[in-house]
Amino acid sequence: MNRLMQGAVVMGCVVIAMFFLRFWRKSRDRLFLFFSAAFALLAINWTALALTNADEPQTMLYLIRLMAFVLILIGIWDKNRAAAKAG
Amino acid sequence: MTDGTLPPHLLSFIATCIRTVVELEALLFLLHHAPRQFSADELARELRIDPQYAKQEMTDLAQHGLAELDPQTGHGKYAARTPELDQTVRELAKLYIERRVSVIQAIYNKPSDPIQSFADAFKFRKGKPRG
Amino acid sequence: MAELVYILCGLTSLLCAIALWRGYRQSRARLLLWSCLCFFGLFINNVLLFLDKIALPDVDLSLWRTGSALVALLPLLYGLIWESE
Repeated sequence: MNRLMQGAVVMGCVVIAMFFLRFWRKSRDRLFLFFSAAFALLAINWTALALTNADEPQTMLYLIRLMAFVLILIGIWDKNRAAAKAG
Repeated sequence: MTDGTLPPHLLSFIATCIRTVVELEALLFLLHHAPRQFSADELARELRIDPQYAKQEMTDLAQHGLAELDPQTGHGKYAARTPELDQTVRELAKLYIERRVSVIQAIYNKPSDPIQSFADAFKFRKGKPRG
Repeated sequence: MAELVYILCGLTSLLCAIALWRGYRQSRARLLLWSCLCFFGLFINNVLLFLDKIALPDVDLSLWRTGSALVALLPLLYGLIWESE
């Protein structure tokens, strides 16, 4: 059951990443690029979890998750930095 | 009164590039005086708005490929990125004279773009409000 | 180390959820509502990860962890497919 859900989560993250990529191309807003990369990393994270049968907190796999969320934070910072510059 | 009389490509242009009437007037001002460059202060005087607001408008227009900002002086001039864009802007300029109310209605009646709203949600430092 | 990571990830998710909720209140764009739910779900997911590691080491929450992630992604997927035009 866990495997099935993990597979679904991976697929979900991939699709979401692709949607954000499309938004980036459409709007040229870098924020979407960061979100796309973040969800791509989450997809990798869940794939690794499923393939290695590892328990995330016990291995270093959580570093991938960390990178994903740091990317989101960087994207938000980048957005506000650009907004402050232009304003 | 509807904005259905405006051609779809102009509606699309307005939806993506023109947020407010002031933005349109800034664009048309630059167009009519092209290729002259203007500082934010000069634009602000002409449009009777705040110079910070004028600076923001010029930046927005540059981002949409409608204007060029001199990197050293910060002055802006009309510069459509493509001939099609230039054609669209000139058409809109003509329509603004002939059917001003329709154009204004098109600016304010456009459906809000959810993608833009998503990006805007993460702007924590509020600049000028999006029209 | 993992605990800190999950706290950071949880807080980031919560930040996104709050930003999107405020954006939804302002624009009424439903995509933001679904995105908000997703990030809130990811917040829950990170909380469960934290609990699994720290608070309840003898209880296996792995099914709940995966399940919460899946449940979190579903509203965003729905929103992206139906509400992004």
